[in-house]
Amino acid sequence: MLWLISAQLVNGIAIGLVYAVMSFGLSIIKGLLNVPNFAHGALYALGAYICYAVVSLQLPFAIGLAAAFLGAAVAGLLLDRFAIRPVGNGGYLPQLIVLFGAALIIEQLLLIGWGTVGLSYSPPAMLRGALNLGITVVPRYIAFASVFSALVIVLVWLLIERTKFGAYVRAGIERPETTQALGINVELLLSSGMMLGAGLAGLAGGLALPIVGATSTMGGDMLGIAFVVLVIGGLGSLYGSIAAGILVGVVQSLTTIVAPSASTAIVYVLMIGVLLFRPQGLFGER
Amino acid sequence: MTERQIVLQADRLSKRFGGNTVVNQVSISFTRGRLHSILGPNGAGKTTLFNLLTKDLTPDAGAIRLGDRDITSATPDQVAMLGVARSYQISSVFLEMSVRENVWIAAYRARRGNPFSFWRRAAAFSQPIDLANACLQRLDLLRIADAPVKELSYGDQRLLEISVTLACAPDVILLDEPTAGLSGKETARVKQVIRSLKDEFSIIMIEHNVGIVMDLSDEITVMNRGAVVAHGGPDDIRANRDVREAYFGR
Amino acid sequence: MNADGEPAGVSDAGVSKSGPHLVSIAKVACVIAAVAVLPLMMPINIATEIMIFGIFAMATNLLIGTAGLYSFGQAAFFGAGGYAAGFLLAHGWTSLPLVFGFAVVVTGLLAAAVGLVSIKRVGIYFMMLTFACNQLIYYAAYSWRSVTGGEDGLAGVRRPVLELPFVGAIPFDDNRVFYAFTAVLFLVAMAFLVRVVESPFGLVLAAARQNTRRAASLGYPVAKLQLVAFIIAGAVSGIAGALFGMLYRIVPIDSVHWFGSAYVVFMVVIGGTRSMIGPALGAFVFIWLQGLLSLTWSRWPLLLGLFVVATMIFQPDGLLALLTKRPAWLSGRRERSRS
Repeated sequence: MLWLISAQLVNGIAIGLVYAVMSFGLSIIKGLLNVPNFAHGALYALGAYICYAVVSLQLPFAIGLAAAFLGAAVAGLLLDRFAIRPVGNGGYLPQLIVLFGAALIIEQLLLIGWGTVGLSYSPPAMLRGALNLGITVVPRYIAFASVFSALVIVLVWLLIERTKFGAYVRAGIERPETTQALGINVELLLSSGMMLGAGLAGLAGGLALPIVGATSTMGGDMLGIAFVVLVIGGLGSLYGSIAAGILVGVVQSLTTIVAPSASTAIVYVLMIGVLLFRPQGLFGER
Repeated sequence: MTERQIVLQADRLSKRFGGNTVVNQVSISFTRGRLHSILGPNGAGKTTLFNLLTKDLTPDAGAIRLGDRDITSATPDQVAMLGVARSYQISSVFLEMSVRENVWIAAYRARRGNPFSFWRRAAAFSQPIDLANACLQRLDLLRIADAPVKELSYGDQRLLEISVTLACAPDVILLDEPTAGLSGKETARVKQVIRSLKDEFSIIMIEHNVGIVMDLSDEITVMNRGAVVAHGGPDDIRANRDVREAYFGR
Repeated sequence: MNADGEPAGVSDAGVSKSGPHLVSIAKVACVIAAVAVLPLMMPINIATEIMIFGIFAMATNLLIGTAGLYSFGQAAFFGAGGYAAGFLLAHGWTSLPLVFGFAVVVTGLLAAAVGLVSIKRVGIYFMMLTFACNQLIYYAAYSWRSVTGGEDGLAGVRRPVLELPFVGAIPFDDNRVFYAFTAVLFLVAMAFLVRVVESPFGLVLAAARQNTRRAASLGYPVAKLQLVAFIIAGAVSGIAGALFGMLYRIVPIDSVHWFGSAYVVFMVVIGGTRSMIGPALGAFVFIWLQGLLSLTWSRWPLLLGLFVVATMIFQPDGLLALLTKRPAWLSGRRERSRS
């Protein structure tokens, strides 16, 4: 039993870290553009499919991940230019509607390109097999996905906290009214924020490919989870989604032991529970 | 009605935003039937005090009494229903409605209309109309009663703001810079209106136009950096050296 | 009934000296004519679906257009209404008032619960919370197989029977009769919602949309009013959901999925939020387009997505604004008649 719990715990942390990468991107977009990115799930699916396309050309998985990030980032740029910006002055309702419309378009394009049958891909030889951690044994790929996700999160964190670009991003999130005065090119800032956020969604999709494969419906479910993670973390908090992502992954994984069929519903129960006690989310300010 | 009846009273009221104490241990009482102005430089905490008195903000410490009722933990709508109406510094009118509708909404509630009434058309309620029209008349807004608010000039929007406040049929009126941004002619108009209101209501007013304050006020409280620094009649305040330095001494 | 559901109800409705009653009568006539002609233009079930989603969209517009509450979880109530009514109808209770009454009570309670959790959160937070509650209810429906049928949907739904004194029992098995019944409910829902929008309650909701703080400072308990609006919208959506289950004799699990919530917001915004005719028009265009496109290409959601994006970019005020842009001379005359 202990073995099972620790296995699920490690599994949950790994999945949670992928959620965190995904939700961190959503959080950046929400912070900078003040719009809930309804296309985030579609970008995640896009990442998975791009990664699949690359590895099926016999290219290394690493290139697949890079392509997933870049491809989704470019899609994010297109979304910003051709969907969000043209309706920008109407508030966020038109924005999220065009984003949802764009999500439909992206998902259908994926179906046109790769068909309706789900795709699966097993990780490269190096990452197959299991890793003995003493208390439990984890699949190598799960271990890799955790470490890689954690690295990505740290890198993005450094980017935001330690670079000039990051200073602009923080200014854009905390004091949007002052960014113009600081001489920052706001449009460029918003576009790059959208690209970064979208790229993270794509990367999460690429990382998830060897675990869950690529299916046309993967985006919708993941969008729901990413929203929940953001709400649990606290909408005002840029980094709250990281901890909340891990929490959601762990809770979900542990629920699988007791009631496998409730593992998705539990995420939403968790959210309601958190909100009843901390309406602003775990790390949000009132 | 006795001469010195206290209508609204704050007792050691404090409010902090982050590390800043914006209102610091302010005790102040307002007498029925008087016009009591609050004077002070920008950032003195005057508007925050208003927000605390109307419960738009919750104080961190202290108590507020309205008549003999403790309203420290009341909600803004409850305070309004107890007879306290306010105007805002930045015009808070309903931009997508007509002038008449703005005033009607205030008058409907002032006449104790049920806000949950969804089975009758608003137009079928006749009680608020007279009050609404009277309030429009008072600020000379009947001429544009059916105009959409967003087409109004800034000055007319300010007048509407006061008109809406009157339509609450209150006991106590809080006016937050009623003449801010108005032309000379409009300022004179508002001053005349406020003078005419003095007989009917207890008025608390934040105003930067010292001339208006001195002419109209029965009592003046001067605030600086969140605290009360002086209190008295217009003559006392004019003679007060500290006040001259803190406020007039520019 | 003044079918013009602008929140600006008072001056139109006669507080000012004159009201354009002819315009109202013309609008009512147009709506009734459209409802009568609709089934002649397309397959009867598509027409019925348009009526059903028209009800759903109008109810949602009470939140979006009037109250400014951007809910992305309305499908939860649509689906719950379907399940509530469908459960009774599948188990032999076919009395019409019982079935609809039960659907209204269940969805009203559910909306009250969701509203209590989410109303006090504003803006994007509200939207994401209603969305998440929708997901929660979806998974609850998914898991509660004994009642909802889970993934397979709630099958075996019969159509209710209307017992009328002197007339006797009216069954709705004929699709044309069922259309007529749905159309009547559509008109009743529209009249009811227009009345709500024009009532003091609706006016205050609109006021709170424009300036929440001011509405409170005038003595209105804004959060409670919004909660009541949320419950009304939920209950009316539940009626629409109940009709949907009766139409195809099954309540599919998709009817409670959040995609439905997004689609209904589409309908509202495509049509136009400033009246109740807008959402009805949006439902018409959306369902009609869906029916047309899905016959021609299995990847039709792509075209739907393109249509939605294009509408938002080129006609952000909704399609109704295309139809109702008055010639200058008419609006000029209207202005004069008011002063």
